[in-house]
Amino acid sequence: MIQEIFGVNHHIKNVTDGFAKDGYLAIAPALFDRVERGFETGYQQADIERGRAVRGKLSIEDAIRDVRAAVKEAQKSGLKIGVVGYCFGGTMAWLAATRIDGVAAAIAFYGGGIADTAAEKPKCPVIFQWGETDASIPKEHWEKVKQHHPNLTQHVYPAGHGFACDERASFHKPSSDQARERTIQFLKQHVG
Amino acid sequence: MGEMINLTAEDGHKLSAYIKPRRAASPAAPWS
Repeated sequence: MIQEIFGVNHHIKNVTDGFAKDGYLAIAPALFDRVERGFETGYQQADIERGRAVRGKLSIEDAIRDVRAAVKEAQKSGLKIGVVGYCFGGTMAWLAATRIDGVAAAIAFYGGGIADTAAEKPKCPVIFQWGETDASIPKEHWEKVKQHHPNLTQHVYPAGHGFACDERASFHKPSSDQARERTIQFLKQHVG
Repeated sequence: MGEMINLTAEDGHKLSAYIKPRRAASPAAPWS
């Protein structure tokens, strides 16, 4: 379970708990520990700016190393591994699919860095969950992903960025509920 | 609630992670 730019805050912990309730061992690595240990924040404009600043100091390569550490921890269970990520974590979920061995499925929610790495080849099944009115991720992003991966499923919801976070102003419950249902179905299909 | 654990990345970096075990199946009621 990969965080947004707001750290492993109480929302991410709640979402992690939700996957556990659905029967999964769930781990949310604190990817921002490399920049600021224990970083977590809320969703006001100042928080967004803080999160972006920390994100800007973190290399994708280091973040991949930390996701890989979480995957290895989960592998101790002997179970298949799925990676779900939101926002920054959506990009990381995609890159987990392309760069980390042992991932059985990935679900990427509105990751702004996916289009830039769309040429990479996933090693496992992936679905994308986008917001139709996401100003930060226009449809050109999805189209670029489609050009490179016409067989990967992309779901587009009538909502904006962060629609699955019930603590953000952009929360859109119908889209969030449907996206979560699709996420669980995809995990059941490929992870168990 | 789950708990915080420590992980070590391949380059030696120590990071924390929030972990929540799978919800265990409810034990059978003693009268069942």
